[in-house]
Amino acid sequence: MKNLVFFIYKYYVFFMFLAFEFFALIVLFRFNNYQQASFLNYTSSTSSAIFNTMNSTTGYFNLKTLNDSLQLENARLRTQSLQSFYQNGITKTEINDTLFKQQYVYISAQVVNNSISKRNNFITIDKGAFHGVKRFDGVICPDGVVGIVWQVTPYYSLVQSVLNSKSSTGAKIKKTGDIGSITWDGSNSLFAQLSKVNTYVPVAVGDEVVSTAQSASYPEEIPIGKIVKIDRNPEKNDYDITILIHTPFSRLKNVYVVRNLFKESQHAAETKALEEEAKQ
Amino acid sequence: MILDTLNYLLRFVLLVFFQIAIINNIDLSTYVNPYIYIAFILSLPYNTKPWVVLVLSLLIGMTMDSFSSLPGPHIAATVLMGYSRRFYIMFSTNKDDQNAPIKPSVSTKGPIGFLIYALVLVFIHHFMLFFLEAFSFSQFFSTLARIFFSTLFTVLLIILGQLLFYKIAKK
Repeated sequence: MKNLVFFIYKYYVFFMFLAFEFFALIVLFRFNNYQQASFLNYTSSTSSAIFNTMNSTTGYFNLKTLNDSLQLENARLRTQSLQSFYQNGITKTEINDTLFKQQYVYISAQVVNNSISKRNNFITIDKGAFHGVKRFDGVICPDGVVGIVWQVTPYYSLVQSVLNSKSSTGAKIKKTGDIGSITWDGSNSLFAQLSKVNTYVPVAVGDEVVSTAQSASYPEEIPIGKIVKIDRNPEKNDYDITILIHTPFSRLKNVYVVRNLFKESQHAAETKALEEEAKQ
Repeated sequence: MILDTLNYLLRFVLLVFFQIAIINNIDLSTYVNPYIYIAFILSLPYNTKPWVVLVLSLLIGMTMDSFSSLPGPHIAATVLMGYSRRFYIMFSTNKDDQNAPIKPSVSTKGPIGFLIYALVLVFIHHFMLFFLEAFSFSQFFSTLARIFFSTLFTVLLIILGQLLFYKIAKK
């Protein structure tokens, strides 16, 4: 026993080192395990407040470009609104419309912290559970998709950016409607990869890639990017497609969280179908 | 002694602030991610107690991790670097120097001596950090390229910073 104490005392630095490394790895694995409580919950109050302060100081620099992009978006939305269509009929009847039921709710948010050059990039936004954000909601910006809400705290959320090795976004080619999946290989923040597109699909350089509502996180036809390079995957019967991302990740500021009000029922239907399939 | 402690405290705060507010916002490329905050551990005097170095590594690692979305890598990498530092110093300097309050810098170690010291330790730090961040060996060589270029940039920035502050101190 005395020897053991002496041994530990003699190599106490080594044991301290081991203990610290062990601590670091526990923290790391805990966070990588999705079911566990998020680290963000413990640190968000201080670090997000600091990011917020830094943001409010630097926020003035790109106010002009921001205003321009918002104005453009406003113009586009105004064109789509009912008032901008010429009424062709003479009589106007009002009906209680049961054909339309609201499916998507948009929550506007500001980017508080953002990175694009890490292997796994995350974005912190200033809206959280208090504002109605839920986990796995989609996040978009006027130019295209941004990512999926990953962790939610009362006033902030952490968004898994499309520029993340673990991110996989359901996408389709706008022209043909064929489904694929967007991933990021981590080499360049301007380009992403579209995979799982079968070789019989007539794809061409310049085709638009948009989101699909099948994933239930994004609405239909939110722009993602444009095809710039098409390679055939020799092992599988599909293409390796490189797309140029429309979303300006490096100067992301205003985003919208998309809450799909039908998501729960879509998931319920899908899990029910899977369960029944398993029974057979 | 108190003055020294205050000096290091200020250095700690400034380096962390500089890293988070400025360096982290420079997105040169996905292959260049410098982490200059480790200059704090590099610049500790030779005769700092090993356990103090480890505790300080843990503290600065935790501070950096609380500002990142994936906690753990910075603690693990900085503690590993703080631990390896002892062996590098034992290996590269004589007994008298090891017990003297010499602060490793370009002026005390000479340009080449400091360059090698910084390169070795920064590489150890970045190796651990980038592999833990990627959390897989699936893109081994691309991660290795990241480590290589980031190490070069970190060392370059640390040396530039030292030259800058050395000049100011001389005036």
